[in-house]
Amino acid sequence: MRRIIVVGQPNAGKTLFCLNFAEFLGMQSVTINFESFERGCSSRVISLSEAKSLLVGEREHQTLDLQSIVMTIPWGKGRKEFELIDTTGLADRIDFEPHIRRAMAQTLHCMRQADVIFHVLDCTKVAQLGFLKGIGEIDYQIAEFGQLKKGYVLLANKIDLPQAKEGLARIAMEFPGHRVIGISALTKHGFKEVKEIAKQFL
Amino acid sequence: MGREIITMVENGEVTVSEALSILKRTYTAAGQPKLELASNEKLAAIKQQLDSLIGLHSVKELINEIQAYAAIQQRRSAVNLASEPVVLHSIFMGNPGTGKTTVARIIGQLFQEMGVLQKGHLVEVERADLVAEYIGQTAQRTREQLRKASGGILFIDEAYSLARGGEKDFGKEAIDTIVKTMEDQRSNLVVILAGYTAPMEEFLETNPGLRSRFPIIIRFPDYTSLELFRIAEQMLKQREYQLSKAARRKLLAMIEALKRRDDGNFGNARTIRNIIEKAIRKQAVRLVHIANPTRAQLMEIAAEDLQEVNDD
Repeated sequence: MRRIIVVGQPNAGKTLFCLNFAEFLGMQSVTINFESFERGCSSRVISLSEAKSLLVGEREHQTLDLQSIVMTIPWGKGRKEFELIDTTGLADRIDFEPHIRRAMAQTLHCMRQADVIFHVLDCTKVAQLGFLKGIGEIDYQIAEFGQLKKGYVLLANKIDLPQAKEGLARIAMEFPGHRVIGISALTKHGFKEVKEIAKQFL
Repeated sequence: MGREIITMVENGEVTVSEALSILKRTYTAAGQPKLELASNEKLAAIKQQLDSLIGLHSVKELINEIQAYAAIQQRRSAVNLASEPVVLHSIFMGNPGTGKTTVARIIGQLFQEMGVLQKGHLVEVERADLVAEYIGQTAQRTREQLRKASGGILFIDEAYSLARGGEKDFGKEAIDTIVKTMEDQRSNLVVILAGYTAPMEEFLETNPGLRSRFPIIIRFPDYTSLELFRIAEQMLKQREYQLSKAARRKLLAMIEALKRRDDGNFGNARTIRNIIEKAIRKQAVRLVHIANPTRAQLMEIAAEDLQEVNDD
């Protein structure tokens, strides 16, 4: 089973993307495997709407575990399984909270093992703050790291918000040679393209 | 390397970006985590350990060959050249006490460090660990041991005992199970059959399928008297003892006598170890009544401490 890992800065919309992508592929409820440093592994069957209200939030670092969901994608006449892994946001600064650092380390470890990287960026942030602040050093590093993988794609999120188009253009400029897809994790805009790309990589 | 960087992130010593830029370098063009090759220090330390074994020149040479072969196969696959899977299943033949287990343990560490084996630990088993009393249980018991050894080495001592007892013996079932698993887990399990030379040869002759499945045959020659003497010295040095002049002469004479009397049961290095350990005990008895023994006295093994030991 191939593993797709979803990474990006905190609050880019990784978790919502994961859950809505699962919904887009036709899942009603998901089994989420939580993998946490402190509490070990646990697994929960949960409906998607419940998962969204529970796991998605406006705070940074809402996600501190690796949350993986096994889902299937149409494949020829049947369906193919893959694992989508939601991770802790990676920030540029060194966090003073040890548990957040640990969660980031866990994300890095998982990135090494994953086959495909989905890199989520926040369009509006890029548009508002410009390159220097909107796109962090971390994003460039992830992009370079991603090239070593079987698949790597940039998902420019929050395309449904105003100003986002501008941000998307800037991101495309800033990462030449990479595939950039404008998506909205909230409205599922652009998910069809993501699905096609996922199929190429799996 | 990779793991250490990630630990540094955890401890807040580097930023995630820095970590990623370093992690990048641990990858090959093929997108696989790079197997950290020969250059590293741990590997050198393990090689050093192998080199410090006395004698065994042919064995060392063969292990060097295998190691180089494995390393080159890894590099070839890194640049997308055709590479043969490295099959490391081996047969170790040699008299008791010629270093078979010691070498197996070092090989385990060596291949773990090279990234050929995941864990590189050694699981030492003999017939009783594999073969059960009742029908149908042998496969289970054998599989259990194989599972334990997964990622490392399964070292089967006196392997020919599995074939003794004729057609109806359950040993055959154990062999079949091992051979099956060996093929399936080729990349993550190494099986070593070990035993004395003569019965081992016979065992391989009666099971012709085995020879081709164990491509590496390492013969452990008997040690010469001088090698045995140097082994004794090394053992004493590790334990911080030394021989007096008279004791050196006596030990050499003892070894030569033992070699002459050799009836095939001579325990080689193991007998030497027993002699040394006995000498250390005798020295302790000799010194225990002396009120204030000097440092030199505490270290010295005198001729009178050396005594014959009865093996068996």
